[in-house]
Amino acid sequence: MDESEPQLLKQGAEARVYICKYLGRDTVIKERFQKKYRHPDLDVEIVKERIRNEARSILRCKFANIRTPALYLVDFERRKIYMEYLATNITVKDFIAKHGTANEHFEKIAKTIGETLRKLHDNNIVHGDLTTSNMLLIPKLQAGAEQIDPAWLAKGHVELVMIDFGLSYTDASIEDKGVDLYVLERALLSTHSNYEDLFAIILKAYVVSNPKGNANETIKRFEEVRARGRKRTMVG
Amino acid sequence: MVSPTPQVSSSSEVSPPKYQIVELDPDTKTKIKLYLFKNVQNVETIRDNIIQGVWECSAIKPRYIVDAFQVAVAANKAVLDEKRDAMVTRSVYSEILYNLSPTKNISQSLMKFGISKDTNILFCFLVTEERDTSTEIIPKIEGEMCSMKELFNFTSFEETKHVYKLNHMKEKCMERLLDLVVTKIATKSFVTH
Repeated sequence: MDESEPQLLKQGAEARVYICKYLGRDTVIKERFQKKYRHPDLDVEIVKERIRNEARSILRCKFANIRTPALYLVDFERRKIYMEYLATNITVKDFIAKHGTANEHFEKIAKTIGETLRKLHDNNIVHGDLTTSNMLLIPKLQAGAEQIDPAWLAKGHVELVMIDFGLSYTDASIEDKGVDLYVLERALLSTHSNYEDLFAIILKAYVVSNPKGNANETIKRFEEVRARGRKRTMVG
Repeated sequence: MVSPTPQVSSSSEVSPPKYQIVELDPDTKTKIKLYLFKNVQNVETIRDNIIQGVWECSAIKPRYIVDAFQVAVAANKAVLDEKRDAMVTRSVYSEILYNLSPTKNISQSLMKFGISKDTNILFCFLVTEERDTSTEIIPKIEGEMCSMKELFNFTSFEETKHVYKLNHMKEKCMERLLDLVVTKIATKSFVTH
């Protein structure tokens, strides 16, 4: 197989994701294709704005010490973002499906998720599509180690990477943050319905991880959003 | 061609190339070829020739270069922007220096990432099937050619961190630094800091 030939990894409603060699590295290419139902000029503007938002959020996360893929090229003309491919990874979704919550590292990982979300929100970044598929666990290189320990996952030597900032934006309001948490709760309920305490652990870590900041307002808003949502489903 | 530096081992062995090549975007059909030199004696000649456009190459200060990949990301954007008539500076070689820099001030960028009286120089050539200017220029560099593997000896972690304004970084990890630096380069045109 020709290595430079892009391989389709995922096809979504907004974008296609390929992997290929680019600048000598394994690279993920995210291409936002044209939506035929949109006016072409509007389509170009919307796509530009989304690409810009995605790249900006990814960069902002790095400044907040949140691991995200490195960006190699942001190409508005081709509607593509070229970024780092993390070869060794497991999504949090697959991790839970495979290992369950009885896993000794489960609670640590859930806490890390809560802390990471708090960092995200403290920096006014809203992810917009928080699901366990958009969270990757990758091996964390241990101090002094040259290579990845094959037992990285079993040993809990993991690092959390946030991906897919396609619906994200910066300068988020309290309402946005509340909704962000609500989206996650709904996603967890549908994907991991048998692990009820997962969201509770995440939310607790979210609250306590930064005692200096004030998460109360966001939590209050989240509860309002949740109540609204519930009402809506009851009526509908 | 460049005369290979003598090897300690038997003469039948071919010495490995000291330069490094990275292929850029397939549409550009261009590669970068990187050479690292130390104790360069004719810095002024090099500078003059580059500024006058006689020598087609970028002379980069290696102090803020963490990895060849960093130059590849900057050069890739420069070559694509040249193709699209979207360059900020006058030549693709100064565009590489500009892209490396985190600021949008052109003269500051060229001064920071280019060479002035530096004797350690990282040369970047854009090579295509038809054209490789390194073959004429490299023999005219009066200095000691080093392997690209030695680049890290010329890099200053702290200064690079400072130049790219990455003071939030806690751990001293080159990998993380490279991640941040290339992401900054890739987003420079539309992110203000």
